[in-house]
Amino acid sequence: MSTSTTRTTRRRLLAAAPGTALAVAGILALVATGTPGRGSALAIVLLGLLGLGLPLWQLRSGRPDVQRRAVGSAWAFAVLIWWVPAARLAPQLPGAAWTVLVLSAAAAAYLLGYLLAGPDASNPPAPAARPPHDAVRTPLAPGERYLWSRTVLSRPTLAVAALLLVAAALQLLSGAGSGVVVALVAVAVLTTALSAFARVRVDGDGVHVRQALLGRTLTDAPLDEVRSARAEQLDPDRFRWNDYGPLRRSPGLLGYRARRSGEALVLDLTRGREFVVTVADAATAAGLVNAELDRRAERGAVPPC
Amino acid sequence: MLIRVDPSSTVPLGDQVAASVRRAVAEGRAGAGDRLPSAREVAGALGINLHTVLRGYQQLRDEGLVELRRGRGAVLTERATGGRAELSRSASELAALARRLGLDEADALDAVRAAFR
Repeated sequence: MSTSTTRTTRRRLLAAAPGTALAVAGILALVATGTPGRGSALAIVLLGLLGLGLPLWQLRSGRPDVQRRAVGSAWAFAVLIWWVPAARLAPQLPGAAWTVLVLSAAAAAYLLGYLLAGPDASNPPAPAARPPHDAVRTPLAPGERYLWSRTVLSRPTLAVAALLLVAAALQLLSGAGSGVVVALVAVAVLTTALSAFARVRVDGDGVHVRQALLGRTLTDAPLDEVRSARAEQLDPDRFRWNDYGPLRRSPGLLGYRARRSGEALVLDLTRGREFVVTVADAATAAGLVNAELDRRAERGAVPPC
Repeated sequence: MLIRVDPSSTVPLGDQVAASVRRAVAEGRAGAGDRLPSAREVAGALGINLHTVLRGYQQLRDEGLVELRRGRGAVLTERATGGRAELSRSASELAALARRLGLDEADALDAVRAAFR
């Protein structure tokens, strides 16, 4: 990660800190005002993991868009967590008006966090590079346009969504979970299930992995950041047992893992990073990326590596 | 599924879209049940008109290679086998050749009937 990116990540951690502190205070208030019991303890742990852990984890990604949303989410969670304890402390608050107020405040807090995240790191664009001579290539005519697209399904991600669904159902049936917890888990179920179906796309701008149903970007590798591409058999030992769906664990390893092993498109990115997507016919995809890099380099007259 | 168009080619863009799908099926890179990218996505990525893409998809539907369903998009049918796609591709090439020679559909069909005899 470059110095500029590291500095931006640090600044964004600071931007999220007040929100995180407010959220921790909210969780403590939730504990202080609630009734003790195993169900409520589980709910609070779940809340803490989701609301505090997820944004902090996303801040480590090094991706400007993900970090910006993470700071916004940390601030929104800081408001949402006060929903229940504040209502308990001041029961005279009218229900519907209180709900509207909290949701509006959470939306405003998200916007505030998003803005507080500040400008993205200014990394100078890497010079256009040609992939090595022996890299796979899918021949492209000078003005030819193309779209390569494949749908992938991550069964382990779908299984996680199913487990979360069962947890939410148990919370609801036992009466232990508050409405907020069930709503948060429901959002987690939906988000996870949607990210299990992805469409991998290669075009003149790079490689994009999007939700197959909504088209929302899960992860992408802009061509400006790609040095070369190849197709290979995935080595499962490189990943943790739970590394499925969009890969966000490490700033140096990005992409989307749908299967434990098998054919994968692997991109070498700038700043020593790697982008991995498990997808069939990866050789064609890799060939297109390399051919597009050649075309760009020809426009800039760069010799092969 | 690789869809490619060359705007400098004399072949209409819609025909090039359809030819890309036929090629993918013929080469075994796509098969029955595979969903084609949405026409909107293809149009956006290739910088061509949405109706041009739909024309290409409609050609494939007329050939029985894809099924167009509202909400489900275009899905390759059971007929989308390598041999079938090869036949469709040869038929397209025959039609293009007939046009170049100034012949009409009836002339091309006469040639096909004669070849069967």
